[in-house]
Amino acid sequence: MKNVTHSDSCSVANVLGEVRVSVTFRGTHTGSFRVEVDGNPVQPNADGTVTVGTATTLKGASVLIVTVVNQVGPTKFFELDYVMQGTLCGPFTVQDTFDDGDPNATVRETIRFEAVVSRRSASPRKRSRKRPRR
Amino acid sequence: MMQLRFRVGRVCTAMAISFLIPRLVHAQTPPPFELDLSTPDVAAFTILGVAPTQIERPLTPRALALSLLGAATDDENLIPNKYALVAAPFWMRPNKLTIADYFRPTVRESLAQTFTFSLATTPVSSNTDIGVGLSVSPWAGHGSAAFADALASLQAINARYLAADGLVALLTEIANGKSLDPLGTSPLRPVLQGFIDRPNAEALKDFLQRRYEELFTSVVPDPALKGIVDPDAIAQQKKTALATAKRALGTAVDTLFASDPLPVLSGPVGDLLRHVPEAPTDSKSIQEARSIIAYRVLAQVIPPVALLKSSAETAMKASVAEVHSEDKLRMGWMLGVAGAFASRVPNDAFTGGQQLRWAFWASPAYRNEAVHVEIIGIVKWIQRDVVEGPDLFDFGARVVKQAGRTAVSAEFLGRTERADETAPVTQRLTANVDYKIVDKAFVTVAFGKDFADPSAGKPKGGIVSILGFSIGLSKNPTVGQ
Repeated sequence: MKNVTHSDSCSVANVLGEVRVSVTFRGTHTGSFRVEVDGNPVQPNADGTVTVGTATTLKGASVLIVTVVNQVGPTKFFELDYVMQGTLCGPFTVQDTFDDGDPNATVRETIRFEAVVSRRSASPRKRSRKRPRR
Repeated sequence: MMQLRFRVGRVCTAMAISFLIPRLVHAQTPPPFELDLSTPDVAAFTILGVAPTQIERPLTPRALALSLLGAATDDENLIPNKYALVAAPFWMRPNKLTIADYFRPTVRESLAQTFTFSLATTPVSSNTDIGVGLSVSPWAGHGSAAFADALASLQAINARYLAADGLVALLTEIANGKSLDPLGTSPLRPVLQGFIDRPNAEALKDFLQRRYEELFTSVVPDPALKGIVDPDAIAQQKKTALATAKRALGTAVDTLFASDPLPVLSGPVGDLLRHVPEAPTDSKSIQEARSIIAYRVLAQVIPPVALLKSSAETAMKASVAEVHSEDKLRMGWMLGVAGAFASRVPNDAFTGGQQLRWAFWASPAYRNEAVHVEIIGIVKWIQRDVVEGPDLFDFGARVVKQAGRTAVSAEFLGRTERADETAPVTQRLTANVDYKIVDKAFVTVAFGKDFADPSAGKPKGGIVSILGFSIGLSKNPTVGQ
């Protein structure tokens, strides 16, 4: 089975409250996912989201989302959107293709919650450049 | 009535060739593509008048397909000589649709997903007739209950795979690092610590089964499946899968402990565990020995857990194939519209092509999953070249009964000519049988009475007798990103 690894980061400054993670499967395909916070599996909510914590508990934490994607539609392209409710980060997107002859793929997405804003942190909106004063 | 010279030997030869062709194509194209056969209903074939049926069955579109039709059964040569290439452009590039959009598409999504282009050729004496067709379905129906059931089964298998995958990763990390740190602050850490302090089968079973369950129940099915798949169906399948996996883990631990791992230990710790009299017996040495044996056992339990993972992976592949199989036919109300034109091209002068006819038709259909019966209607307008005869208006219906590998259908078409309102309605009545020989081998036979065509010297209509087969080249086209 094809294995894809990917990572993103989110500054805790962009965490607004309780953080809930969910995955949207695109490309007319389907699949399942599970979430670990610092190595511990987290049980899902009834609505299909997974609560991973708050700004306080997530500072420096690493969230691993392991997803298996199954090819259903007649195209080999797939896309996974990692939606981070309760933050200004994301959605983080992974795009890839299924291998020929194998209709399944595993994607490991790691999201690090950084205590300080770094260049890799996802920014909710682009800052407009200020025009220099004349 | 025309006497058929249908020789079994000739048919067998044709069949052998027909299966050889896809194998050769398969061998020449690295990486191998998936062959996927579908019924040979192609708009471009229809306009050429060589399709086994005049009323097409609405099918789930494929990205790219190749159709070949054999000659009529009374011909000397049964090698396929009619070819069609069918392409659905939507599936050749990435899309943002979810499984829900695919299972129950809106009108707009239906139009995009089902738009199909087809190109077909057939030899006519020293010329070649070329047909070009476009088809689309504003209403493409919805996925079947069997399709939804297959998706539910797949979700349960996904949970098996993800749980086993997580357990293998954890055990590997613990065994390699000889530390319980990968467990972090998990409530199961004291359970495994108990096993490290005093290795025994029950403690290990307890840890493995509880951790597996923790991982298994943390798996979330695709949120887009809500409204498609019955959550109770997934829950029931997951319950069974979890119980089976926990039993397998228990058996694996029992087997491991039955095959005494102590002989593989060497040195003073092994001597201690083997009760060698001169071995150190202080509590620290004993604890160290127990810890070593516990981590050794954890390493040895990885292969049986990895076996759970690989068996889930195999089951997942089979389950996806089942999903594809159940995705062939959509249910409920459907409407297909198509247009096509045909030209005749002299073999020695491509620029001397001449338009023969063009046609436009609409096919409302209803397919019932409970009784596996579908009814398809058609109205078709055919504009013909003066040389070919007057313009035609066709109307009719087709009833299809699916029974296992076989689809039997009866098709009736009435035809009137525009030029002569007093001209009688002529009919075409055929019986069609589509049979799936093996998983990816599909043959179709059509037999019956054709339209009357006085201009072609058939005042009462001739016999329709067609043997055909279809080859899907790939539903996963290799298109660069």
